Amino acid sequence: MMSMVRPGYLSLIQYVSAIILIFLISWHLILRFPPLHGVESFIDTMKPEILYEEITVYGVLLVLLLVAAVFHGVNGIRSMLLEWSSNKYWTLIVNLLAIIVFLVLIVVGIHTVLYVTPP
Amino acid sequence: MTIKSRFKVLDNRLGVKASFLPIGVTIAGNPERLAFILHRITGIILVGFIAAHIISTNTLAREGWEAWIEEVRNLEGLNPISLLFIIAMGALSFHSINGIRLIMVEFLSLWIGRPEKPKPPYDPPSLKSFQRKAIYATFILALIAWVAIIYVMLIW
Repeated sequence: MMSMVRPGYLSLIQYVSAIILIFLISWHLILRFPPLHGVESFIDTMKPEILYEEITVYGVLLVLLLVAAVFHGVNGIRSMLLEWSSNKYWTLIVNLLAIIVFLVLIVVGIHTVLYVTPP
Repeated sequence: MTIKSRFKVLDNRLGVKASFLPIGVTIAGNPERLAFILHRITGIILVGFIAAHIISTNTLAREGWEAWIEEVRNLEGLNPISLLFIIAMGALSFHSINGIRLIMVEFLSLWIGRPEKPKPPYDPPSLKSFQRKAIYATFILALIAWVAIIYVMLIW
């Protein structure tokens, strides 16, 4: 599947996902800042009621963060592995593994957002 | 740069080994090389962290909030798990701030100076513009961001 996408586009998506990640990860980290929730410590910002509200209100942003982070990471590792060898079978195995890891992590992440229950 | 150190730079061909052996890389006169290798190492750390983070937060959907509270307790104080988390945050600080530099240099072609014909003494033209300062600023800002995150995590 990845070999059907032109390498130039994957590189472009890698940069675009990086730009998206800079904003979304900053937001994701700021949400763990205690004064923002009126709590005393970093651990307290992960209380069930605070997290449940975050997941339900910002679910779409969390899924966007998930897709951008997993794509950026998996494609980055894929590029490194493809630098080792240009062998046809190696390329096929690396591309297939990248797609499988990408899909598994996305499914697990979306499952978290969709099936979280109220505390 | 002396001729001896210039040869050291030219001899800097560790290949894939360089991704795992930053100490083996000679960075005399070229901090970009250290930034490149650290970007790779922190990238590998972050992929592991993101996978672990996605799977561990899935506890919420699989086992409920009580299991989640147990997991979060692992981040309290200094222990092996919180230490791994702190290492991942260091990797995140460097990778994201260096990533901003890379977007400016590689994606937007800023800070990199004008291309020029190679001529002796072959100093990398890419480092003649603002880029060298940007690389040093990246190291400093990443360290500040890391210390700030550790402060919020452990001391706040």
